[in-house]
Amino acid sequence: MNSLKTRLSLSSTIVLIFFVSLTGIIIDRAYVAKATSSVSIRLQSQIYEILRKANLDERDDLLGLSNVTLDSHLTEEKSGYYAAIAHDNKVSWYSPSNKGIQIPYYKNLKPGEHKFQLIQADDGSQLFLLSIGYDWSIEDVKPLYYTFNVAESDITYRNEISVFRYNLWSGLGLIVLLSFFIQKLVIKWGLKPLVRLRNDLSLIEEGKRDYLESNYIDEIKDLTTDLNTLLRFERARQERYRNSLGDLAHSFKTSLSIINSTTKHEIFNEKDKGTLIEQVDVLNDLVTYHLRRAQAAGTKASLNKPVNVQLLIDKIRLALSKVYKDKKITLQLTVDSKAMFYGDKGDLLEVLGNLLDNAYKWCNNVVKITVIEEKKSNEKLLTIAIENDGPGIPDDKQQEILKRGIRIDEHTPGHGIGMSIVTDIIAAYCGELTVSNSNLGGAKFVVSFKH
Amino acid sequence: MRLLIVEDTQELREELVTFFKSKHITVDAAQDGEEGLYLGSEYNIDLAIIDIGLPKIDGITLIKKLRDKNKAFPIIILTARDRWQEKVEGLEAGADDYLTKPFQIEELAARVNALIRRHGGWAQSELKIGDISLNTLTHEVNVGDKTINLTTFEYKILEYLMTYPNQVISKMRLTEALYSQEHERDSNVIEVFMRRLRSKIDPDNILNPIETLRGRGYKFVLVKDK
Repeated sequence: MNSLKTRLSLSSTIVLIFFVSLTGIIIDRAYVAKATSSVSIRLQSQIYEILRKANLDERDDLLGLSNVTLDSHLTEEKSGYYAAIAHDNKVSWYSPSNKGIQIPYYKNLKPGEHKFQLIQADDGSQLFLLSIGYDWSIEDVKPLYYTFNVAESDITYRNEISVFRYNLWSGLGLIVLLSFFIQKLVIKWGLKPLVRLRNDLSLIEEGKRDYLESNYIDEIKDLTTDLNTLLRFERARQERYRNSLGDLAHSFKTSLSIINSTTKHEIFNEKDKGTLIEQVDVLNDLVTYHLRRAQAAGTKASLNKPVNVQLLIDKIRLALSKVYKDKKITLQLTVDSKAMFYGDKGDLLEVLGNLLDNAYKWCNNVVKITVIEEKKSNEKLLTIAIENDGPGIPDDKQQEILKRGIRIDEHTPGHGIGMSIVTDIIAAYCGELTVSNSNLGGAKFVVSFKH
Repeated sequence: MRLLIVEDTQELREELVTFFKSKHITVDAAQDGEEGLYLGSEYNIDLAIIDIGLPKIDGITLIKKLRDKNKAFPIIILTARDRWQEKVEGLEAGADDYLTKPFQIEELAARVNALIRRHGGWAQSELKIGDISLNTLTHEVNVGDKTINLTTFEYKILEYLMTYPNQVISKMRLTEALYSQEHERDSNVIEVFMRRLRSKIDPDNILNPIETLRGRGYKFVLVKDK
């Protein structure tokens, strides 16, 4: 479960359902207890009513009530409401509603003894039965103990509970549903700062922004500040590193230049001059190759802004047009103006600069540049083709150029260190470089990068 | 020709100055960008060789400042930082060519010649206008099929005028092209050289290749073959 949103949604839903269920159960139990208590109270008042209306027949010491005084639900057969009075361990009076039904009344409760319970009649129906023992003794004459019983069918009670439960759980269900949607909105609002952070990071990756904004929520403010510091530090470090390498190259090569020009002095014979010049060249090639390789970023790190390829090509061709002014070169350009390179600008400049310089150097009159960016499923393919109408490269030499890290003293004449750097940079970006013969007659170099 | 060399490394700067002086080119040398800016602004420079990594004002900034002052002379940048980023920056700033260190001084000389010729509208090392031809590599001067012997200064004047044909070259500019700043200059010496030059290349006053524009300077008036 890698999504914060899913975790929050799931956990809050589970908690919501748990607590709503618990609440429902508690309310349900409370209601059932209340309903049961209401039945008990109702039955109790019924008993008191019977007590009030009961008459003692002194002949047989039996209590009874006339039907005229009875409530209608006690006179109707199987009405669901029943009463009985028991004396001397047998029921001495039944309400008319008892006809056709056998109820296990209490017959011998002690005075003051109180029984309330759910019982089953002989027909299987459930009844609430309240039985109270009562002392009807006449003063100092003789003790007369009676047990009063009142029973009520539980159908009404059960219906009441059922309706209540339906209302309770459907209400709680609606609350859960509503809470679920509100919760989704709350989570969305709560996570908005993180979504904004993610979008801002995407903008940095796409090169549309340099740093994160400063107005994030307190909880991630430190994180964004630290990220900005890291970005700043990393860019400065890269810049310092490049500058240091550049300074090293400058110092080293200036010294080589002095050695070079010193070889003109007459103290050296021709053989020594040749040796010195050759070794200066070797040193120069080694330093150039390794320094430029070290300076190449060779990374698709998200710190780099995407680079517009057309802008870079325009810069290089304008620069080369100055250098090769004496050569009348026709440039054929087919460049997708929106094609982007997702890497270091300096690296692309090295690749294009070297390939174009070779094309200008070796061409007769025509150089052709084609740049295409294709989108395939979830990746982009950038293809750059540079060709000329020069002498071309023999087939057996074409593959040699593509060998990475070839020894400097074995490189193809005329293609120098530049091609070694080009192949290294392209490999660092997991790109591809192919060499073939162009329709124009010269060489064709095709570079492709995936993003 | 007057060359400006801006290079902070003393040994290299002195080597370059010595070399170009041996080719009879007038050279001004500066060891930092500030001095280079002063010399480039004050004198009529025909070409500048500028190192990129300079103290006080770096090479790229120096080039931009010179171009901002409408100094249109060609500029070759010397750079040890041979990444294409630096080369493009230099050429965008206004340089016309670049050379990476270490270099063969002969290659630098060839590029200097090529740029100066190109700046004057010449594609080849031989300048030929009408019957007069001058080879910038061998320093041979011919009128028709006759070789003319010129002194160093006479040759320099003729080369300068032929490099910029049909342009008015002031006496001051010619003087600066012939002499470095440490030399004392006599204002009449140009007239003396001009008289001698004319008498050698056009003894019979037929061609009249050089016109004197009083108060303004000199102009090489023969027309180039197309």
